[in-house]
Order: sequence, then C-alpha cells, then structure tokens
Amino acid sequence: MRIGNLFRDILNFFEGFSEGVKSRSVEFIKIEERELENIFSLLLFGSYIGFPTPPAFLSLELLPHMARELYILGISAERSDDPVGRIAEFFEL
Amino acid sequence: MALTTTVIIGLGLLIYAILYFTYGKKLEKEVVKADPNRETPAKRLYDGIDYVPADRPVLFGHHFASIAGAAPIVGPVIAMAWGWLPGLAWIWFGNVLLGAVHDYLSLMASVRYDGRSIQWISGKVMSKRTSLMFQVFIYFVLILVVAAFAAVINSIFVKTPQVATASILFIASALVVGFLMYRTRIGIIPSTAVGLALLLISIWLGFQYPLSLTADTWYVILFVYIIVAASLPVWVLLQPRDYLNAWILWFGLIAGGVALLIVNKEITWPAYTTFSATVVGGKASPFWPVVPLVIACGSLSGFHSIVASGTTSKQLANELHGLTIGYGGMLTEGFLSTLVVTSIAAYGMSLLSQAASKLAEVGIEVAKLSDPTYLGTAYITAMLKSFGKVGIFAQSYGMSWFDAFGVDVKIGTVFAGLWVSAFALTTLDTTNRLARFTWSEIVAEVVKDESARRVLSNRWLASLLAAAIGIGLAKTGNWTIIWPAFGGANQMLAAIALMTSGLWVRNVLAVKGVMRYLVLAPALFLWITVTLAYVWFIVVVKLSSAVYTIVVIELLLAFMLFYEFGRAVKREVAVPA
Repeated sequence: MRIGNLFRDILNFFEGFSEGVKSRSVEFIKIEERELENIFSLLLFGSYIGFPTPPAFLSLELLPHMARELYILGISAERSDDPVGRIAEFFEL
Repeated sequence: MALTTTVIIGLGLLIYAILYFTYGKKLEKEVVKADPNRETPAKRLYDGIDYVPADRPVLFGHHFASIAGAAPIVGPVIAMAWGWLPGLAWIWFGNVLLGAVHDYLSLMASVRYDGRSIQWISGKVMSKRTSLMFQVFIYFVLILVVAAFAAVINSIFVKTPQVATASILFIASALVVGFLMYRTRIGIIPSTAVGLALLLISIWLGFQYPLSLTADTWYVILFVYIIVAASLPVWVLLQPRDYLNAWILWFGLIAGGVALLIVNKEITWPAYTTFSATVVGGKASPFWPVVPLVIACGSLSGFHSIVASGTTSKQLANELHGLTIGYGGMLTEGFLSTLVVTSIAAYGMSLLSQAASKLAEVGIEVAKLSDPTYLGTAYITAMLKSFGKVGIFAQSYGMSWFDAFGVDVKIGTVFAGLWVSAFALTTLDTTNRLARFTWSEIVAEVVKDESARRVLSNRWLASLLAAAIGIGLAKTGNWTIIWPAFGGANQMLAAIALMTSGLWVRNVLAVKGVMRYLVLAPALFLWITVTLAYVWFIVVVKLSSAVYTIVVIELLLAFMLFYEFGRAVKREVAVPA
C-alpha cells in the first residue's frame, strides 16, 4: 500500500513538473496580455475620464460584456502602487 | 573512508532533508502559523490571470525555474579559491538558516498581504522611504547584472567557440519554437520535440563550426543583442527560449546529480586553502565578510523575495504548500550550487594540471598547486587563464558525465557551457527590460518636472542607458570586481527583504520568544556581513569610478535602511496585516 502511495506521489510530481514547465511557456505572454487587456479597457471606457475614445453610449452598450475586464482593471488600479509586484515574473537570476 | 562525490552529495541531501523537516516545519508552525483553512489570495482574489491557485508541484516547478539561473553556478566556481569546504558550508547553512527562511517568509508575508510584493510590504512595515530604497537597489543590481553576465557570456564564447555557435543556433531554435508554438496549431508537445531536437543539432553544429571572435567583437554583438532582444515581442524569443531553458535546467540538474552520486569520485581539491584567498580584485579576501559578495544566489538571493512575493504568492492554493515551494525551492537551488562545488572538487585539480603550459605563461607552477595556500593565491588567475569564468565547472561537469555514463567529455562540457550561456542570455534580455521599467518608475517618483520626466523615461533612452552602463562596465572593468559588486547588491537586497520579514514576524504576527530572534538574528547577521564586506570592498579594492559610485550609494542606503529598521523596531506597535 505504501509503495503504491509512493508510486502515486512520484507520478504526481512528474505530472506537476510537466505542468510547471508548460506554464513556463506562456508566463511572459500572460504579462503582455494583461497589459493589453488594461489598454483595451481604457480604450473602451476612457471616455468616462476624458480620453478621446468611443462615446459613452457605446461604452454603456458594451458594459455588460466587460464585467471581467472591469474587474481586472479595478485590481490593476488598486495594485498600481506596487510596481515591482507587477513585473516580478520577469526577474530571473 | 575516502571523501567522494557520493558522500558530499548524499550529505547535502541529508542536511537539507533534516533541516526542512525540523527547522522549516518549526517556522511553518510556530512563526507563520500556516493554516490550511485560511483562504489564500489565489482563491480569495481569483481573477483568472494573476490570482490563480496552482497545484503544489506545478507551482514548485514554476517557482524554481524562476529563481534558478546562471548565478548559482558562477559564484561557487569563484569561491573554490577558499577550498571546497568554506563555500559549501556557506551554501548549506546559508540555505537553511538564511536563504530558505528569506524566501519562505517573503512568500508567506506576501500571501498575508494579498499577494503584494516584498518591496510594498517593506513600505508598510518599515517606512515609505524603504520602499524607494528597495527600488534603487533593484536598479543598481540590474545594471550590475548586465555587466557581470555579459562578461560571463563573453568569456564562455571566447574560450569555447563551440558554445558560441551552439548558443547562437539555440537562439535561432527558440525563434523556430516560438513560431511553432504561438503561430501554428501543432501544439506544445511537437513544438517541444522540435525544440529539443534543434538543441541537439545546435550542439553538434557547434563542434563542426566553432565561431571564434575576439572579446571586443562579442561585446559589441552583446550590446546590440540586448537592445534588440529586449525590444522584441516576448513570444518571439524570450518566451520560447525561457521555456527551453527550463528543460535544460531540469535535465542538467538531474543528470549532474545522478552522475556525481553514482560516480563516487574521490575529492582531490583541498577542503580549505587559506582564510584570505586571492579572490576579489586580486586582493587577499577574508572569507568572512567577503563570501556573500562572491556566492550570491546559491546561498541566498534578494531577487528570490521579488519572485516569491510578486508571482508565486498569487498562485499559492494552500498556506501549507508555502514551505515546499519557498523553503524547498531555495534548497533545490542550493543543490545546484552543491553540484558545482562537488564537480570542481572532484575534477578541478586534474583539469588545472592539464593546463600546465597555459599556467606557466602567467607564472603559475602546477606542481605547487597541491599546496593549499598556493592554490588559494593562484586559483582565480589560473582559472581565468585556462578556462575562462565558468569553464572549469563546464569541463568538470563534462568529466562527471563521462565517468558516469561514458558520454564524450566534450559533449558534457558544451552542454554545461550552453546551460550557463542560455540562462545568462535570458537574464540579459529580461534584465534590460526590467531596468527600463524600474528606471521609469524611479524617474516618475523623483523627477517632478513633466518635460524632463518625459525625456528621461523614454523607453529607448532607458534601454540604452542600462545596456551602455552594463556593457561598458563589463568591457572596461575587472570582472573579479564587477561580480562581487553585483553579489553585494543582491545580498543587501536580501537583507532588506529579511529585515522586512523579521519586522513582519515581530510586529504583525507578534511572535514571542526564541522564534522571533531566529528570524531577526539572521537578518541582522546578513546586514552586518554585507555592510562590512562593502566597507572592505571600498577600502581595500581599487574600484573604478563607476563601481565606486554605485557601491558607495548602496552603502549609504544600507545605513539609511538600518536606521529605518531601528525606528520600526522601536515603534513596538503592531501593524495590522
């Protein structure tokens, strides 16, 4: 039974290892995606803060589809006082 | 019983296991009081992007690949000047008492502060000024990283032209893999298979067409490379190369570990040479306090606190996973440095003996190298003359593969050279991106005039500035000074992070008794050690004006930091998490 558990743990480790390596294949792209999402949200809703972007009625129409983007925009705004935390994934020594 | 590689590797693993299950667990239970029922930010603040809970092994793999690079290899190579034992002792005990504690507490402090970075937390538990100091330190470290790693790559390429060809082809392979992975639909497994096949072909072509260029030419190429690579979209080069690097790292670590375990090769390097070996800037360098300037990431690293608190903390699914990932991740990196020390301890002496004619050119007598004191004085000159900056490790590694698996020494050597250069190139690329970003943040904080701010934070100016200073330092400076300058800045960053964690434990977690001091004492020990090392560095070593300026500013910041730390300790007021 114990050998069975050990075998399962080893398999889990290699599965996790493989997933870990896989997640390395997208981490920098995720950073860029996050920045692009922020820009996209600003482009759509910038009119509320004076950006020359789509008029407010268009933004309002889009509003129901943008819940997730707005949530992320809110988190980004809240975290803007922590610049190092935003780029931590780039640190590799 | 003869001391062999098997004994050292086995002993290292044993020490790590014992301290993980005793000291590490004590930290988890009595200091952090990790609670599996307390929701982590990954779950509480789930956003599908940054805050995503990950399985423990997945996060471990991810975290380890982020903290491991070329630095844990380079530092121990230099530290062999003191003998294999002092370096190994600093790695092992530095790991379990300082580095792993630093990484684990940075991770857990961040988890309790909603995944905020340790820099932000330092502003909270110490003062706002500390947070800015942290940022300045980061910028200096980044500049020095460019200098130190550009010099390492340059040396590898000049001394081993096969690695130069293989590295350039590896970059081309990464471009192909990037295209296959992100611009076609063939999937990650076939892309990886193609990438690994191209990697092998790159090594083979490296033997067929070694690229010999002068050091000056390589510096020009590296300068252009940094600017261009850092301005490319990440999916083109950085991301696929980083992905392939993860495979190289794990393969190199496991194959090297197994080779040294089964080969049971006798250690021929002296355990101890002399307390003041000739290491930094050609001066007699006392092991303490100079060692943290030399062995940086293998023992502890300030950059780990940034990765742990910036990325890993947002993905931790359960507080009980923190010890494996934070504490265990550092121990795994220490194991990498252990491999480096052990392989040179086993094969380094015979490699130096084979380089007798080259060593004679610089007045070193091979016959005398068996005298530990003479070795301590002559090692750095001998190593740089015969093998370049990390060549002695690459060749030792290659020899261990040959003894263990019968693989041609040259293949193992080129693989190890490629391993170091691939990581160093990725570091240069990412560092330049980061330096650009950090510079803009500092300018935004310090420069109030709008037009001046706009000019100074221009992305090309910021990128050129970091590359020009870094490569300029590498080209004109003495590497045995540049590397310690980088190591010192990194270790002082670790001291800030450890002090921040210490204050968090004291003022926020309100831990009482011995455990409180088991965190604060290492923080103070580290600060004192690095500060004394800096003072020694400034007084004894003849520094160039650029390095002198950077080190003096860092030393002043270190004292200001200590002042802030003292004030925060005196406050005796619990800061709410």
